[in-house]
Amino acid sequence: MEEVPHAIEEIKEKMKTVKHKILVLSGKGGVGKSTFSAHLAHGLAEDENTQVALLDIDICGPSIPKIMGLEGEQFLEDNLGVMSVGFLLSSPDDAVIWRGPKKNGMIKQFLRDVDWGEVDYLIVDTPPGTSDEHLSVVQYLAAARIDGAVIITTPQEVSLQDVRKEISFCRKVRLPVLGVVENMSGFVCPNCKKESQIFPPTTGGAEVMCQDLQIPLLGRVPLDPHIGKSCDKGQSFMIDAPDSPATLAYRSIIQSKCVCESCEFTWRRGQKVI
Amino acid sequence: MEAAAEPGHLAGIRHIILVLSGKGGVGKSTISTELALALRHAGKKVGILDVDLCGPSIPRMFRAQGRAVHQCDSGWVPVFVDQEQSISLMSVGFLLEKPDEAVVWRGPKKNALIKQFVSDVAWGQLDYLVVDTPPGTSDEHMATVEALRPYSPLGALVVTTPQAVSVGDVRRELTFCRKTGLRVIGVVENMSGFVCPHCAECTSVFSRGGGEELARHAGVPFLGERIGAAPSSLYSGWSDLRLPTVPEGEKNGSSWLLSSSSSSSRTGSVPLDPQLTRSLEEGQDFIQEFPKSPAFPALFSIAQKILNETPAQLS
Repeated sequence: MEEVPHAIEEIKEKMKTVKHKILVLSGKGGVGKSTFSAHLAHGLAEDENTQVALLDIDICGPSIPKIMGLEGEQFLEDNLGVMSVGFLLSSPDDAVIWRGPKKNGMIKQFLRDVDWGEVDYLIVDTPPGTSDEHLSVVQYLAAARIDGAVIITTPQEVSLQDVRKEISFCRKVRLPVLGVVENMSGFVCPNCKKESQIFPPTTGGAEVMCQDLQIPLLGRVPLDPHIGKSCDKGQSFMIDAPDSPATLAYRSIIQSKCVCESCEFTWRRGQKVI
Repeated sequence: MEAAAEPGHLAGIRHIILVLSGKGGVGKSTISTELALALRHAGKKVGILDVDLCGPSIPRMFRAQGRAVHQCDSGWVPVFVDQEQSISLMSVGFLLEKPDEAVVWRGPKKNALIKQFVSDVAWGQLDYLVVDTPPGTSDEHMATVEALRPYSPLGALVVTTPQAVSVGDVRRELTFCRKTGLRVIGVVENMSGFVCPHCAECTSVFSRGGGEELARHAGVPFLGERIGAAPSSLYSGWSDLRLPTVPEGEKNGSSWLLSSSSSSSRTGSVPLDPQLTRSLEEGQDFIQEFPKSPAFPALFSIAQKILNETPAQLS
């Protein structure tokens, strides 16, 4: 581990051209981290003057290449670059059966050796949990400073209990929490238009948790079956279904201004940060 | 049995089943829980070992949060969920002082705890030990497979949801099973379709066609699209849950998306059911309370398949 401080310095140098670094976290898997990361990247990159980079550090389950519709390519638009271990695998069946140290080495390489160039936003999509990948990315970016983390959850308590752990992780490693996004929040039947709770918020959902922990709730994104379809096709759902309530929710979150204890942060370029 | 050479606490366990998936949030813990309940209803003694150290869900699903693990002469006593002690649990959730505390551990520490879980828990006699895992193919999985190998685990149930993004992760998980020599008992497609409680329309919430893609990939026939709602009358006779063996030919075709001559590619699909989510939130016995749910026959048929594969009774 003695090369870590060295790597931190190198990464600090490398990240000088990267203005904002945002982690997307959740305690539980399958709550929509990659979907949110992808849409945040798409949304920010809609402004052609904003340079966006999306880094997928889910080494064992990289979803970003599929969701972004990329096979082997690493640049989607002129102003949106993507990096994932998925690009380094030779076949879709290739499993990355790696223990922690090897995963950490990969993350170091992603941060230090990828030529990110001039970037306004680096969005880092993470695997579920609070282990090697999370510790490593926070450690490697320690000197370069991370703006903060957006935490994704679904409304049910089984997810919230893991998210509370994730927030306790953020506090332990002094990572500012930019806010919480409640995903899969209500489902509107496309046939009868009535709403159901597929993942019922039996303990009040993200709203009550955010009040308890005094962190901002950035918004709620309803479950829309088109989101999964767009992700499977590798297209931006916000372009596929511009009028869907879920698109509006994404847009409002992307444009939202988050004020938290330790930082004042705005997504949009040109506005004040800190 | 190889275990005889090393008489650990797993010596009294007849069958070990791992529940795996590449992707998170596809329902590993749900399937583990319901499988355990279904096996219990069939008169079996079941243990669940939760090796998801950073996000343990099993204690909540059995409404056992806050229960403590005690030490006895022979090791850790698992947490029993019922008077009859027919289901016992072990999870890192029982070892934490505060439920919101994060287990911020790197691999080696996780590996050490998993080894301890395998060697130090006094399970006693069990028909089945279900091992619930975190998503991925990393430390926990390697540690678990390594530690359990001397006890010849029966195999793995691999859980997916229908969308291509999830199926991609499952393909990687199948590679993991192949590389580690773990037999795949079956692939379970969870959350396949949501039946609107207002109008009974079935929507593919998490995309569709994932099972078909997997079928094509595994080189097996795709027998049909999974439906959501099953006619409840078909299953009402099953409510006593001492279920008769369903003959192979009569097995509800809709709950078995695929059947295959190859050993590794059978799929049972479980539709998305908010009642199921709710009951797991509240730690109720879903199979007892909601035998008419569209998810029930699918869950039952998965348990039945396991029972069929392991006819031996605990003496």
